[in-house]
Amino acid sequence: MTVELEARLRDALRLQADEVTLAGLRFADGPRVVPGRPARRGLTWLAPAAIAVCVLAVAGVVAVIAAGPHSGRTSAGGSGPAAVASLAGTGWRLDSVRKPDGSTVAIPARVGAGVDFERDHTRLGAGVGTSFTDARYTVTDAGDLVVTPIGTTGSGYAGSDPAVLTAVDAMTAITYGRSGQSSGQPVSVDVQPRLLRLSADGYVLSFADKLPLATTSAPATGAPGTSSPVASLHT
Amino acid sequence: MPTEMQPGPAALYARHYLELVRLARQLVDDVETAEDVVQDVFAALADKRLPDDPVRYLRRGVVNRSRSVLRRRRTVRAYAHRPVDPAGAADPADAELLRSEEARAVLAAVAALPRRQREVVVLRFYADLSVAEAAAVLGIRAGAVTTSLRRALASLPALIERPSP
Repeated sequence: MTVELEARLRDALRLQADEVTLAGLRFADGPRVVPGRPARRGLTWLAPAAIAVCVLAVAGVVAVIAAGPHSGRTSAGGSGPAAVASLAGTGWRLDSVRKPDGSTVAIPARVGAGVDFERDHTRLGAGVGTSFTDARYTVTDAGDLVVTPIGTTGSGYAGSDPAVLTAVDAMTAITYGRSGQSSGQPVSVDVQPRLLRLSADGYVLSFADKLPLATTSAPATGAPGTSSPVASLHT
Repeated sequence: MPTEMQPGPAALYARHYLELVRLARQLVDDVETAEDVVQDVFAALADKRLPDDPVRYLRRGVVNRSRSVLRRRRTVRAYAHRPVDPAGAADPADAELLRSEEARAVLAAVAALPRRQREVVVLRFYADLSVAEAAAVLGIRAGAVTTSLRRALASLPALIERPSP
């Protein structure tokens, strides 16, 4: 019985593997070149620097806790490469968007818009509902992000909820640029203990600390998805 | 082999790229993602001194990166309201025709396994690694591999027979 099952497994897996041929691969001739990727070989100081940043971040958190609940916004964060580095391993829910025309739109939790920064300091995921963009980022000397999308799990939205539409436009601005092309324009970053602001292409996106799943509101009736694609990334 | 000159990244790419994409394909849902996974692994390799056993290192990287991709997609799928067929997603139509119903059922069952069990099954029955080799690639004890394998083989028959939703 087990032997037969193992044979079935081998056959099926082999069949699936055989469907992958060199002729069908995009990078059979050589590795993909990622523009703007930092040459890490020369950055041997990065690991100790990251450790130092982590230590400072922990010290900052301890100071915030010790000083009370209203001191958070002035005790840590800001902008610059160190602030961006502190984002690694964090997830944020889009809270509001200031549009290029100056108007501000609140984004309810039901829209499910947010951004997650992977722990490797090079990748982020940005999503609205079920539409999700996986991207690489680098950090300029000024502490801006340069985002290069890798791929999108697209999910069309045919509704007219202004919060959803604004969230989609704003998230697109930081991943692909307002033109929809990956223009590699810098995204400025302002990190506060419980607030993250990303600005690009005239949009200012304000993120709040990611909410625990239990406190998110009821599913939307008009959003492209019913919950944040980033909501369970750290679960 | 200790006395053999170790191949560089370019040689590793030429020799193992297809094999690694095929391995990644067993762990993610489509060939394009599998290629991205392997590209990332080689990109990471370029920044480092080559490890003693580069092939094992690459395999391990493929497993880890595939895991990361699946973790990210899990949430998207959960709210997409349309089940993704892991055995057939994004494959060319002619490949679909070639794949028998039997194989499709088996592949769907493998994809439905818990992550660790799926990895162990792929490494044992696709990559033909020994329990010890699979344990080294996954960075776990051989006993954990055996346990995962036993559980996978116990649950697979029911998963294979389960009608599609």
